[in-house]
Amino acid sequence: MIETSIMNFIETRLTVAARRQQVISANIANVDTPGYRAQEVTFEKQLARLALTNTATGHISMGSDASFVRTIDAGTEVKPNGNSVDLDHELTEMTTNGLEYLTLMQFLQSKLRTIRSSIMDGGS
Amino acid sequence: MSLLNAIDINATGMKAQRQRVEVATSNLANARTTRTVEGGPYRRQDVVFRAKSFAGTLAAARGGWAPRGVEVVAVVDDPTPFLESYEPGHPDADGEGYVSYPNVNVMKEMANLANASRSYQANLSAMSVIKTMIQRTLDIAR
Repeated sequence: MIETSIMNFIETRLTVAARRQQVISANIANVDTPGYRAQEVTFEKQLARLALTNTATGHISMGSDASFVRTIDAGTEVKPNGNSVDLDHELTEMTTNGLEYLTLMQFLQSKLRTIRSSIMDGGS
Repeated sequence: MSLLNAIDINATGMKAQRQRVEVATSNLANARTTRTVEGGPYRRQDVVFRAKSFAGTLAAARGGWAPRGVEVVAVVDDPTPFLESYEPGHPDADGEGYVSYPNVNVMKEMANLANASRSYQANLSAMSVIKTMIQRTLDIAR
């Protein structure tokens, strides 16, 4: 029971991290595109605001695809050609996000090993 | 898997920046070209970037969000005037002894080249990060 909710949690976080990488990739590819506005994944902010709607224990629905991608409010940081991508910010976000993804993978791997060994030992 | 899609996005970024570099180096190489095949001095060129949707993605078909890549939609001439220089002895001088030089500012072009290089590197870094993430995911299955 506890294992399932942890696995669901990891799965959700991994889905968010993968989506975030897509958004960052799009921002980096369009760093020089006139009129392009940088986007971001606001999962954590929305999580803090929403009451958690669980379909299964610990499982958080991603909802429709678009709901977690928002345009960054650039304020005065827009370049003369209308582009608002801050390359330094994107590269930093990508590093952080990449590390989170790899950490989750590490955690998932050790969880799977525990489950696998308990299945094997259970038969002896 | 959405991560593989992200690789394609940055691949378009690399291609677009490479085209920008090609145009910038052509501008630099021809900064003093007073005579071209079409007649007249070399005219500076620019690339025009535009965000590109990947029409085939499932998310786009469902009406959801999909990441966009980039493409060069045109290579356009820079309309700023040529630089006039009084050199009556020059073979390409006009009736009044003025030679028209290309509208290329070497300093600006070098800066353009440096920016294109940085953007290209950023796309390359992204692909490297994504590759590591995918490899790690495959490791789990082993």
